[in-house]
Amino acid sequence: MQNSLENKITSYQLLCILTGTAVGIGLISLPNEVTQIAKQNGWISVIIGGVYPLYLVYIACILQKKFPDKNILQLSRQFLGTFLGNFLNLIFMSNFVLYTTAVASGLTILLTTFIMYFMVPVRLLIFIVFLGAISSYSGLKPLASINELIFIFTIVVSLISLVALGKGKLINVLPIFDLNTKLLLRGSIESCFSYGGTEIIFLFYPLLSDKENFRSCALKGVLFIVILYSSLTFLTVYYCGIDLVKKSFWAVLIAAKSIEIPIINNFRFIFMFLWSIVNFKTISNNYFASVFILQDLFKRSSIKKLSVIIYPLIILISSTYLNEESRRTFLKFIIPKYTLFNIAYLTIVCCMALIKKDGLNEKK
Amino acid sequence: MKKNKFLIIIPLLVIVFSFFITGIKDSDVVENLEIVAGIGSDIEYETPDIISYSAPLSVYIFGDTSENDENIRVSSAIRRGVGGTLGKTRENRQSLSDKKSIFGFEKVCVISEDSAVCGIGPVIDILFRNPQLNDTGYFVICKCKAEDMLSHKVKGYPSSSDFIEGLLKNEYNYSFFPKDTKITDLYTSLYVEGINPVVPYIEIIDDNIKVSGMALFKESRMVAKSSFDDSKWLNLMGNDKGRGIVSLQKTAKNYADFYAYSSKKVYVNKIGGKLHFTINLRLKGDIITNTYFKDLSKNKDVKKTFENEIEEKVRKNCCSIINKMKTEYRTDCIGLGQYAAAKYGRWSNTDWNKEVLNSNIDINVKASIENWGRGSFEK
Amino acid sequence: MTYFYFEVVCIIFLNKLKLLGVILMDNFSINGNIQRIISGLGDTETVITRSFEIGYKLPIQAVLIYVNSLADKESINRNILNPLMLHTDDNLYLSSNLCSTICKKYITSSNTLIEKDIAQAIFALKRGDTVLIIEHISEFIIIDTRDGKYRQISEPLNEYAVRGSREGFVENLETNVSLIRRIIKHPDLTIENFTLGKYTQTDIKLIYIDSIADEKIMKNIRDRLAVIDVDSITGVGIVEQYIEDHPCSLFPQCFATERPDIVINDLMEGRAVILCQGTPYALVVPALFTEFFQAIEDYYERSVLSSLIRILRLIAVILVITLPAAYLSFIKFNAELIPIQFLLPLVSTRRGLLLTPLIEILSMEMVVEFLREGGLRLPGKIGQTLSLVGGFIIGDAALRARLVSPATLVVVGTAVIGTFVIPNYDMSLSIRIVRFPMIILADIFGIVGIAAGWYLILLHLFSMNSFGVQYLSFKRNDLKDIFIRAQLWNMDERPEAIPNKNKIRHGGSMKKFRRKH
Repeated sequence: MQNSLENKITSYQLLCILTGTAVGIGLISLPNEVTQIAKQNGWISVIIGGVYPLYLVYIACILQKKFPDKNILQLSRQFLGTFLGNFLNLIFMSNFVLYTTAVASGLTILLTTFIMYFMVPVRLLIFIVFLGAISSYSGLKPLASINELIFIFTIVVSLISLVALGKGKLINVLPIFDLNTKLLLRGSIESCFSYGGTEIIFLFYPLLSDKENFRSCALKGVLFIVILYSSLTFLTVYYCGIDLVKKSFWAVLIAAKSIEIPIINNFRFIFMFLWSIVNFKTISNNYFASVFILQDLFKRSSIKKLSVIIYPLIILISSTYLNEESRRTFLKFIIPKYTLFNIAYLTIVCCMALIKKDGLNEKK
Repeated sequence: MKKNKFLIIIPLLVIVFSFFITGIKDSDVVENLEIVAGIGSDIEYETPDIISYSAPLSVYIFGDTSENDENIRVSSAIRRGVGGTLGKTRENRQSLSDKKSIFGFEKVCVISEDSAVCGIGPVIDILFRNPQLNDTGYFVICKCKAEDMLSHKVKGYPSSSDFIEGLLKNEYNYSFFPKDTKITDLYTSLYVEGINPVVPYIEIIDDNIKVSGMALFKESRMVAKSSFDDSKWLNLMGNDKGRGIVSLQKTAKNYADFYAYSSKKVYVNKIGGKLHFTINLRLKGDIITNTYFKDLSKNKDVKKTFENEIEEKVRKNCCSIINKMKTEYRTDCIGLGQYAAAKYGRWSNTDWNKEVLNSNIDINVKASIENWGRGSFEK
Repeated sequence: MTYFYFEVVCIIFLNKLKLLGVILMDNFSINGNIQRIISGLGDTETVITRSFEIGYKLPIQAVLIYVNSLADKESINRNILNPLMLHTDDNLYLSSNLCSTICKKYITSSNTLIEKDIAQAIFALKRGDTVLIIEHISEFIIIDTRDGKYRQISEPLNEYAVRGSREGFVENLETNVSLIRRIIKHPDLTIENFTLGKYTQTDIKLIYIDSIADEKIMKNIRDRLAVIDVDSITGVGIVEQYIEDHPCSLFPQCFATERPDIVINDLMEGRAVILCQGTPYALVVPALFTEFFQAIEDYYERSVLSSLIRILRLIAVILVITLPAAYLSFIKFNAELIPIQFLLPLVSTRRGLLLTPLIEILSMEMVVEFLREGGLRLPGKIGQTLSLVGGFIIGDAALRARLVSPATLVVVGTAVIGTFVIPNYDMSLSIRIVRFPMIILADIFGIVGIAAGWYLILLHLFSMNSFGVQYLSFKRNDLKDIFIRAQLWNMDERPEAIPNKNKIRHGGSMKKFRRKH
């Protein structure tokens, strides 16, 4: 029986936050990116790309065992010095800000193209980021609970795509073992954007109420994401064929649209409805992560104040790439650099943690 | 508390304010919009170089509502739009209509033959690009102008688009007609490696709209039309899970009809640089009428003969179609290229059309009778 | 003779004590005491003082004080005046234990107290007890003669159950407590008293089961009750507003009920009940969101039926909130999502209407709300007729005048009827109100507005705390009782959402029984 007045989350909630931050708008555009390079074996590339979140979870497990009560921000300050640590934390924060703006602008574009033709995109953007700001204003516990609930929505939405199995053609996915390893590896780099957001476990693992379950829940989360992404890529290619995937911006929606329900004319809007709710949650998670890091840097302000202050900034950044083409180009350019930064930053902190702890033992 | 109030009021004001600044893109309520039942595409050659596109729409018109709203008279009218590009036709159309038209309900998309010969690429591009347009509408080629087809009055339906939709929806019950002739199916067959689109062809004969064959495409241009009888065998080879009647006829009065469900499997091999396709067809079906074979249900040998004759007939017809395909149509209209691409690699810059036309194609048929019905009314 | 001397000695002795500064009641001036008591009560007209004499030989002066209409005169006559005036022995004389002698031998009332504190006397008088003051004695007797005119236990007016009991709470606090005490016979039932309100000094009781309820939560509730410092408390609804966490929220955080069986079930889960003198409602704290959608009938009927009805309620709630908003967004923005068979009749009936869709829906909703509120206030039959006839006439007339379309009336009507499915009155009011922001959001943003509206509602619910417990939570074990109602023998653990001391509900005998058979 946990008292709800403490600021702790259960391991199941951490799992939902982990998957919730990663599964966002990246899911719908994932097949496009990957099949450009790896053709019909894109789903194998996606599985290979799952190495990145797995590596992050591995580092997180090590850090959690050694320092169960300190999150990555405090550790980087401890090992790298205050100034350097804060600077690197700031870059880490800009990672989350980037994800917030990318998902927000992606969702806006998606919605204004498919459902809300009548709406000016900037207005919708203001509203969507407002939802993220309000969620972050409420704090961690409501956010964790909402992640729990919307996790179920995500499962429902992804199960729906299974229906495409009935309508597709197996030969779209063949030949499977025409393996060109170099192409597969290049394709897996494209999937980095979709796996981004899993870094959030580094911020929240000290807040777990049952710490011994961290490893299993983090692994389960990553496994869920990898299976979801690869199966969705597989199903999209299965139904559409790689030629059609190349032509459309959002190939998953074509596959989802193949479902015909008697009364409803157009399955698209149910999918969009559920998908918008899932993405509100992703934006809120990333927004909260940015505010959380900012609050760690500026200890005097509260999370509530910072949520409000950062709001115009996020809108400004999102509105600069409000069309699909420039958004994709920009993200393709900047995401690999951020991924490399994350890997380097986290590996350095982990190595120092291992060394320093051993050093302490030696001294004793 | 005062600080808190400020923290809430100012952002709220900013939000509300920015709302009203960012402009309005507005739309109207549904009853003030025109509902489109079917769209068409026509072409006129003013000179060999200058083409004028025409995109007629069939829209629903509502009769005057009386005191009791039971009898709502719905009929249709045609809105023409002519222009140098497909986009300009929209402008021209709006200048003739009193309401904005709303897409999303079109039941059919009718392309005239001339337009198809010129190329259906631009039409499909417009349909794909605009998410509002209905992807589950049916796509047909018609012999006359699309406008005439859409304005043809059919008794009992407000617009001919409704009739054409029903026509295509139910055609798959016979003639091995493909079940999916919607626009979405065209997305997966146009500009796809190894497949050429095959689209139903309708025309007006004796004041009735009827399906009179299939239009065969090479990439995005229509190159040939197969007749109703030929298209039966074409569809049998091109589609999986079709239904149709195969008949054996001895004399005008003695014949047997076999209503078959078909399934196919394609194997591909490379022998000496040439592709070698093997199409295995499997027909399972019911006997509908039989005044030809005596003791069909009782005698095993008679049954065997019947099945063999069916197989022979199907094989002969299919082979003649394949010859026609190689000589007359000159396009891969049964979709064999995709099997080759699946085996030998995609996006490898091979012209699968040419390869298929140069290949050897074998057909094996297996027929079996499942159902004899209630009994046999023989003498 | 010796007794007489003994009495004189007593008087001198008591006088000496008074000189020593021991403050007892003023012996020699019985009137002074009476004056002090009456001034503590305030209003002199309703206070009645009856002086009489006890005993024959040496009559002892005594005064009976009570408040008219709060005390039961029959009881006073029968139990106090009759024995003391008519049936006393001669052995009575002034002594220090006169009071206890009288109580033990002559006063035939079932409850008597001997007190010295005037504040206690005033407290008791306000509740309908009688105070007996005897001259020269510093103690006085408080006799229980409470009986005002109160309503009898009757069927609860607003909560009806087909198979449940027909008893409901009444205004009298003692009766309400007795209704609970009758059913929970375990000694761990704890009752705490509070007196709140400067002028009304209302009695409030906090009841919980000590071995089940969590101490931190009980302490939380106790602290909140103790802090209340207001002029008057006229009902339990006012107490609710002073102790709840989020007074600005739309959703109720305390569960108000008229039925004792609901209260008892809740006590078993580790909650506490607040009863207030003068209100026939009990307040159960802490309350969770999901329990407002559970009716007591669900537990008395078969589990499969109850599960289906619960699912129906869930569908009703979702429809009530979403349907008008979805209808509005479809006809205004995304007409292509309506199936074509519905669209053609819809368009033909909507042509030439006067009002825009938003105003149409809002005006019809407003008319329905007028009818409903009006029907509540009018007496009995008129109210019902008004709602029915008014609905028909106005709806039909609006159709004919081409103000609204039939589809709108169907949508609004369904949404209205859907709110009746919710068993708790407070929650159905809240759900009614939640519809309106949804409609406005849908008018601005279309379907995405509905998605955003749901997201905001969920966020709001998740961020609410009810007395230290999370307002909305879906714990895996509790799901047995939220969307469906599992078999009773399966629900052998208390719900986890509210912390409690003792997790196991019953001994698992049912499972053993089922396994054997």
